[in-house]
Amino acid sequence: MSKYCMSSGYILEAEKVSAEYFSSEKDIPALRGVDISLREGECIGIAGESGSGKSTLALTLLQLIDEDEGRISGGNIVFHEKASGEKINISSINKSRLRKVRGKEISLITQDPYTSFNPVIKLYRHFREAYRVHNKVFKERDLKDKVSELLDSVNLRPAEKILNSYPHQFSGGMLQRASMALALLNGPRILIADEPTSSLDVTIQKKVMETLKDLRCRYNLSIIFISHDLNLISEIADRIYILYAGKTVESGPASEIFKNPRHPYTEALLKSLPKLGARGSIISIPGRAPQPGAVKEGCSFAPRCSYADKKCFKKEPPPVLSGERAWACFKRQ
Amino acid sequence: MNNLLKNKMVLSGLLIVFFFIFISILGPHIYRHSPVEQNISHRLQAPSARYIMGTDDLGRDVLARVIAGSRISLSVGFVSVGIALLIGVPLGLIAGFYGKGADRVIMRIVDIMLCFPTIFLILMVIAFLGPSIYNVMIVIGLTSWPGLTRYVRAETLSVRRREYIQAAEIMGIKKARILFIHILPNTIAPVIISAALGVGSAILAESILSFLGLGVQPPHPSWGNILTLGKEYISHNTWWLLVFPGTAILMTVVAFNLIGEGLRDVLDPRQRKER
Repeated sequence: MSKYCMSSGYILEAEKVSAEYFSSEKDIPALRGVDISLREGECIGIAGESGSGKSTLALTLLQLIDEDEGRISGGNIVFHEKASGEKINISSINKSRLRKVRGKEISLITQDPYTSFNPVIKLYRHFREAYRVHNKVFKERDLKDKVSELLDSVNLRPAEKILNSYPHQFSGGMLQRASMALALLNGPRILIADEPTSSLDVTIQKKVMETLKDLRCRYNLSIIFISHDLNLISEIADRIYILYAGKTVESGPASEIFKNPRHPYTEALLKSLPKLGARGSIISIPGRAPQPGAVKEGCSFAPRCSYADKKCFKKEPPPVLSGERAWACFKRQ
Repeated sequence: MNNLLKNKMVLSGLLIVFFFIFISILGPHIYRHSPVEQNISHRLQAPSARYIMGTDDLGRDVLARVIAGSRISLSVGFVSVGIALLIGVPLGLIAGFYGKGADRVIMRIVDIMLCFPTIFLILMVIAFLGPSIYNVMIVIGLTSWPGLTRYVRAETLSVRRREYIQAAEIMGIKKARILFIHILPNTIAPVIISAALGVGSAILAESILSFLGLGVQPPHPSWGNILTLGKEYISHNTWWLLVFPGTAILMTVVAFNLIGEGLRDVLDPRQRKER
């Protein structure tokens, strides 16, 4: 667990964030009041199964949910600007202010590097377009220098050749590293990495993770690392949030959660991690994660939980706080 | 580009089109006979060494008139498709990208345009504006954009949800800019295809209008109005007045259709046939 350049000031605080997607019958809640906080230079990991709201959370933080598809129904997202010390409420600023935050303060890299580049334009054009958003007047020379430096820091060389190529001429790993360089072009302080390695081979995953760690230190980034893979998260995250059915079920420092999980879901997740050299089948969690929208009363994990009793099905457990840790379970008070 | 030239349809289409472009530009300088000079004593002569394609009712040289007509046909084809592109592409982009009200309004206009027979629309406008070659170009352009708008809109709708559009939004790029740099280049393939097909049908439309006496006015030559004469003297067995301009129309239209179809095979892999 890495402690690179920690300082205690918060850079991003999200409170009771909820979001829902429209469907023909009723709106489907994808996030049901999630709190997260991110300190300067810190890396937090967001873990959860598919459908738990991880990616929605990433989109919500940048207000990127398409108006036709869904809406952000509540909560506050506060970003602390460095220069002025001003607090910007991302959830209520207008579109042109928002565009100044996107890319410049908070950047995002997505799952699939193949689809995050436009196949018909060269790489350089991607960088150039991103750069001119935040720099109205610039010299081509300065941009080239800056891009070369960034490409160098993600181990893509020679810059000249890379920039003159089309996206399909690269492998997935190279493209994912290029997308990191692109995300960092305007010097953001927060990088949201939404399953950055899930579409890559395992050997390439390792390289991408190394690059990410390296960038974190070099540019003093605060990172929100989203993944379903607890092993990957444990490699980079200082603190972890476990999401289940659109809610945080447990949060706290990574080392403590791994050593001593409190919520039954976290416990089951950790048990189900395959161990090197272990014999026998992999332990899985019985049942399936609830479909968003099908969540009933009470604790959403209760139907799959081996400790659950009547109370768990009736009432939603309030979070239990203990130092830096928090979990929501009646059985572990 | 190499793929394009390897495609036999595109290659043969291009050869024919270049042949006609060459004729329309250099033809009058090589074959130095006036297309309008009359010679009544030589009227309605069958093709001979002196008049390779024969003469018409006023003794004008049909070959000279076909050459001069090629210039008109090609320029009508290109200009009217140019006009259609200028109207159709932006409307399609707007309808597909912004959706909602804009989409509804634009697509209803397209539907209305499409349910009128084009030739009827053209006739109506020409009746108001008067027949002239410029009016023909404008009118054909103004009536042939709806199909293009549909293509562009469909392509825009499919590109709009791709992740790189979202990636651009993440970088803070404005919507209008995204439309211009990310979506427009992706719609180019269907646009080029339908533009090539459009040139062919514009040339045909011009010929029809001139044939009906609503396009190019005599004494200026056009493939369409040479055919008109051929129809009038058909009882005199003047086959050369029909065959030569008719072949010219057929060849250019087929050539542009070959290019269009060939381009579709090369540019649009979804419709590519296995060979």
